Amino acid sequence: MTWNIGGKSVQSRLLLGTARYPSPQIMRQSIASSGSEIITVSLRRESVGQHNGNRFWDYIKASNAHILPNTAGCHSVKEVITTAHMARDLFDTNWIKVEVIGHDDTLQPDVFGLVEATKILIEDGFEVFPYTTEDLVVAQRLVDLGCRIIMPWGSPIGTGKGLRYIESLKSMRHRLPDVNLIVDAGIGKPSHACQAMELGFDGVLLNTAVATAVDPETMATAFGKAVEAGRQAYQAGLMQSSDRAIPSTPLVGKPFWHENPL
Amino acid sequence: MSELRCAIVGAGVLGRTIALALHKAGCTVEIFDPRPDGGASTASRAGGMLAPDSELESAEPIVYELGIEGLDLWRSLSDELGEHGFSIGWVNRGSLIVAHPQDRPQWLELTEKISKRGKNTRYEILHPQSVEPQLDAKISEGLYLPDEAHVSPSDFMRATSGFLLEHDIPWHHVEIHDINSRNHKKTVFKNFDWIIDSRGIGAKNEIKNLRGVRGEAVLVHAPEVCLTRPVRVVHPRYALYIVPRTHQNYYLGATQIESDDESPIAVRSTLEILSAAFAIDPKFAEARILQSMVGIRPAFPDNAPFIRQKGELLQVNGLFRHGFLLAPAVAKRVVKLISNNEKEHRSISLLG
Repeated sequence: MTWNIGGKSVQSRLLLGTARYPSPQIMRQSIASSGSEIITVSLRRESVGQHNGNRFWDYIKASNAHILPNTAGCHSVKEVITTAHMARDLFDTNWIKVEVIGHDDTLQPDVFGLVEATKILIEDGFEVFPYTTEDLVVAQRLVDLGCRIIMPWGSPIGTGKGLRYIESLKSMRHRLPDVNLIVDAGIGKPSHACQAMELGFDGVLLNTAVATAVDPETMATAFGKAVEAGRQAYQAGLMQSSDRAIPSTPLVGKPFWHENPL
Repeated sequence: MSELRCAIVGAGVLGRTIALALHKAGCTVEIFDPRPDGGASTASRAGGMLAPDSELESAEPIVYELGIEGLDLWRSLSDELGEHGFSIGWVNRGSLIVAHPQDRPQWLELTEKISKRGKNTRYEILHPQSVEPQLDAKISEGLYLPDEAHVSPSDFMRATSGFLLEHDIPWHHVEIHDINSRNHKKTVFKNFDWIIDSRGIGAKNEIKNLRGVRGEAVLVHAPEVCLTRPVRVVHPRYALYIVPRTHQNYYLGATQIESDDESPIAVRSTLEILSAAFAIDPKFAEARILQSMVGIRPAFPDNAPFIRQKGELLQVNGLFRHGFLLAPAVAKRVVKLISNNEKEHRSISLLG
């Protein structure tokens, strides 16, 4: 069951971030045990003096996963464009996760800047993975610009609160059936990731929940399984919930001693 | 061991502790390092934290084991140098971990990791003002680790330079590249039985997988502030410490950035470091900035130290953020290897 995303085929629908692990080695082991084939890399945070080669990045490249560079930490469209070009040279990919910070406290994306940057980058030949809110109008605008992928937040970055805007996310899935939708940010537990996949989202992107776990490698395995379980459940067709109990065994023919007393 | 002649290449904290340990074991020691006072070394810019319990947050178990051993070794080292009149600023008053109210979830996470992973770690969750009365009242919880200690890296560098000079240990002010070359063996290292490569990041081009991790720190003079032990402020990406130094100075740092760039401190890092200090004690507002520092820590992919033996060459490296914490325990293993005097090619386990 391959998944076509941004012109590439992968098996795993889990995208993993590379920040905040105890060590590069634990990061690489976590990527391996999660089964993730796409990893995001923050350029801005770790970009000081990369001119003469950066062994951390060489190490990331050696994980053999597809690299999705991101523009985390950028506050303006101009910064985003510069970072995207730097990433294209450095990692030899036209993929870019565009993140424009709109507010320093909430790390809420600046959707106006996002739309502007996306337009420029798509014209430049980038495959843009836009990090956005649950707002459907913004998502539609990004699709109109040529985005084949939309990444709405589950809840704000690093909060681990799961899918806070679940009705809007459901509606986005319903309205944009042909776009690759990935829930990005706010995932704290494997059950959150599973829930996103059950809603029919195409993938889940997370970082902190794995990187800062007591045992990152095992947590990565748990997330890998949760994403797979959610996807399978979605494909298998979930039952409808009901307000009253419906017995799973027919009442007809039930022995009389199991009947309720009158 | 008195007949053994050892060349130590690289005189940061590791090279110096190895030199002291080998000298004590009776070896003849000579040092090769272009910087006489460790002036430009990573060690001189370090916090000097001896905090194995706090490192349980993210370090490999070996770092904790060696660090616990290191706490005792530092005490003896401080005593021994003290007997010769040299102080290294060793203080054993524990450390305190606090967080800004907004970062409380991270503080809880850190507390959980330290208490879960540390088998014998002594800790106490308390009102931080009960041990450091001057902390801002809005900081209402602290994790107190009573066994932790710290030294002053600049005092250590001065003390060891003095001690080595006093004991007539030759210091060659040269930079050695390509340490394992045949040419060096026939010339500079001709009369040595052992060569110890303790150059840290200086060995980057000769040791596979060794990378640099940039750290930035600030030294301030804050006469109004009165903290008596290191206070760690929870930060999403770094272990930020406020470490008291003599003369009412405080070391604030350090960042942790995946890069070996040595250029001066970044504005963003300066803001982060200084605002962390200001947030926990507003009296830092009128402190004076004395110095900003940048050091490059040497690290392997698992961020743990490593010894490789190639005949008479011992490559000792990868102490990462834990240079001071780990140096004595690593030095002890180097002495043991040399006393066995077996010239083999192998990786050496640091356990035991």
